[in-house]
Amino acid sequence: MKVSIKDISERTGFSPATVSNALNHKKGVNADTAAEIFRVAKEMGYISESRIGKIKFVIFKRNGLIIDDTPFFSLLIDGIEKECRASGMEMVLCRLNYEDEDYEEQVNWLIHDNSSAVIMLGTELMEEDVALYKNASCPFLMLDYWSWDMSFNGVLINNADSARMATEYLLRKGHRRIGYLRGEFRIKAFRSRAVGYATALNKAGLVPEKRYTVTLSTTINGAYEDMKAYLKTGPELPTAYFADNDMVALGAIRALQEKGYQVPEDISVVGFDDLPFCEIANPPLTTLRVPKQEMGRVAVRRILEVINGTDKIKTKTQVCTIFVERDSVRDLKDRNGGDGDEG
Amino acid sequence: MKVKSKEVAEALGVSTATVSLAINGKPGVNEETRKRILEYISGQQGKDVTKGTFVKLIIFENSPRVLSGGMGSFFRITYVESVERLQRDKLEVRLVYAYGYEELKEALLKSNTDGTRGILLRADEFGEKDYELISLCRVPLVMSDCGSGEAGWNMVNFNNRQAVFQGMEYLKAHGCRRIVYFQNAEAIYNFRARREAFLEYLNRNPEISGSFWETGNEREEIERRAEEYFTRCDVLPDAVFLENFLVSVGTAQSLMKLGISVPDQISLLGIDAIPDTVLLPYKLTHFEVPHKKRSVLMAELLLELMNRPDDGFGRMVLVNEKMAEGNSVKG
Repeated sequence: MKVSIKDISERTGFSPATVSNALNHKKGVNADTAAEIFRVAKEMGYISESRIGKIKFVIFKRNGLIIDDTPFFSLLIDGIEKECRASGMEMVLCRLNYEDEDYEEQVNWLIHDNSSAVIMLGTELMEEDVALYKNASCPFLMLDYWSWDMSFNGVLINNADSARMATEYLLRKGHRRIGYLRGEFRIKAFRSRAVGYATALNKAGLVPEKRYTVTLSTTINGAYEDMKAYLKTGPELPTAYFADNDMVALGAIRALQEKGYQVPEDISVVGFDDLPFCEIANPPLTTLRVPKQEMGRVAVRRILEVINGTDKIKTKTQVCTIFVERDSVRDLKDRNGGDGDEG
Repeated sequence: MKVKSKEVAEALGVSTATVSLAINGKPGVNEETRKRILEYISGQQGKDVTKGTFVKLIIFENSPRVLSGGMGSFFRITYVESVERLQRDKLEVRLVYAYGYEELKEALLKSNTDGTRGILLRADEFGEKDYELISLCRVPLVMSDCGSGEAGWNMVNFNNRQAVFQGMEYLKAHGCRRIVYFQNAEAIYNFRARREAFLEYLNRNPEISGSFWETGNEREEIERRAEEYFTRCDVLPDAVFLENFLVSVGTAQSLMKLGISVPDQISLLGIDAIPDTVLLPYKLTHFEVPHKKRSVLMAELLLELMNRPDDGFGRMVLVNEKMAEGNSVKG
């Protein structure tokens, strides 16, 4: 005879609702209670032993240029751990190194291990790396990456809209010549940000101009050195920059200041990420805050739906950023005197 | 060589499902069968897998958290180095956060029976009472950043004393005689060890006059308390010894605000690098805390413990801290 929720409820003494919540990894069930319900459910044959009980969080590292050493990712992990714990899942941490000799073998093992679900941090993934993962036979979700052919479930930052919002903010502040501090290592997030930046300009009847685009390394020191070298060539500067991220923005600001430019008096800068301490930069950086912990939690909730088979379609979930207005942008409409810098 | 679960199943006359359960440490297989399966695999692979296939990384966090919000996360990402090292030996690493005493107790007890082969425990936020839980653990365990207790404990710690002594010697050699130590409000192990070393140094060097000043745990609070100190004191000290990067950042902010210039008017020396995102008009002379190296050493010590019989003698590995000379000390 088939075992029902009611049978498990009678055996354990917990209400059918609690049993159902526990088995579906819903919130609000005490961890011990959930464990007991799972034990009984297995014993009674309600669920098979092969049911997925753990989530692997896989950190893909291509060259470490973006994900090394930044606090961003540990906050993501915090969020994932909290949500795994709330839903009674074990959390496994994996590191996947593109440069390993047996990289492909590791990937195959990973995506065909049906005892786990995978949340993969794809920040450093490039389009050509993706094919391998398309055959995944375990529940699989990409975090901070999106593939155009919709072959994955994805949770990512709403990069394009965020960048558009930041650029529109600069336009509202009276800037017309808005340049782009472009991260050299072109991860997908940066490409999307470039699109958002261009969209805002186009809507205002402007176009991104090559002469105002500067490509910089994605570490603070790298960006600083590159910007310094760029400034040495005596370029014509815009009145404001949108930067791919805070590291690039802060490195560039340092180089600009050393060269005698005042931020924001001479040139305005908007960053992306809201890294710790950029509120005490000089000037405090106007930027976009990415809700990192929440992003991790959303990813876990989404993969639980995939595990439970409650929906079969693939989705792309975009986490919105929060605009954080500080002091690195000058309001050009506000100034007295006006030194006529409209190009 | 890797064996397929099908081969194991055929050889032992069990189902592949049972083999999979046994390998993954799941319930539903009788202990005798599990043992047979794991022994068979060990024989075929020439590697002992009978003791479980995964390691737990337990991050202990005092409740409420000592290192607030995003601050602590500056360090915690460094556990990825432990994961990388253990993965090389084909071990799966499960991450468990334990908030407070009760959760740690539960996590340790559970690990005794769920197929855990070994545990890495980040114990930097341990309070006095938490140490008593260590005796509950029956699997190989390596702790970090905590006090030593019983003979059998294994740990990897930063050599706080070496850093403080070397730093103080450096300040002395640069003519500093009046040195004040800016401390956090918290008393976690690493902070306590640094304070004790500072005191010990003062006792051995009577020509140096030193004192402590408590700043706080949050950047804003540290900045405010540092400012309070500088505005109250009649004469600025020769140097400030900064307990950790957050104290360094807060102190730097207050000095900038007060227009006190480093190193002309006051010298600074700190433990731990300040984050890249903080730009200062000088380079802070500091000790690099080898967070990543520590993580690798923890993994290596655990691997050693798991691969040899327990001799009852715990090891303590001390990792020295390298000085990175900037220009925040005068002369």
